[in-house]
Amino acid sequence: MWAGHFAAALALRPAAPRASLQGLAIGTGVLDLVFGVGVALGVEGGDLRHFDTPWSHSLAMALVWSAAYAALHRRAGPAVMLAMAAAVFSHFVLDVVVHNPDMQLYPYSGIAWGAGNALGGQGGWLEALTVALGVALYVAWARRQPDNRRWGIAAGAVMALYALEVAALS
Amino acid sequence: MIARLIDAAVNIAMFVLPALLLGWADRARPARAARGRR
Repeated sequence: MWAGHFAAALALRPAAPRASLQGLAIGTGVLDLVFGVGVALGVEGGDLRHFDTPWSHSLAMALVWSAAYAALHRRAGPAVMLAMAAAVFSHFVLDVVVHNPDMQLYPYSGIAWGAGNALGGQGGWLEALTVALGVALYVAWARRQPDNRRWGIAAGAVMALYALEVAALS
Repeated sequence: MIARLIDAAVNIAMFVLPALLLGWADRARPARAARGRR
């Protein structure tokens, strides 16, 4: 999943008007940013069928990264901190839905989740639904704001990312 | 080693670049009416 994570940032935006969409969007990608570092260090890797992500995507580490990212925003207050933590943790939740069972309980745990196999090829539809829901919630909120934010570009960008993802995977 | 670094850089860019675009798009600008009064 890629575009679906950005859709989660869009969905969280109305819930935390003081949080920046940029901060939320980076938040939803924190686990993959850590994964990138893990790949560079040679401690993580894998392919689309099975990811080896003990330090970035396990449940325990997802909670640690969520708390760490929230702590980076402590000056912005508890509401923004909560939204940032939710953004980071949403990555774990969405990945559990679409990944094969490679989302570990803690690093190198024998317990791992992932509904990808069980869902067959239906994960793509769930991501489409996530994108649609995130865009709808964001647009409904942004249109009511008394300013000229470029909400059409933000919503269109996430839909374009989804189209790009589908094209790249097909 | 280089392939691993490229992999990592692509992974990171795939989240950072769209996030920057979303942040830019969502930044509030003064409403049109308010700008006109200035």
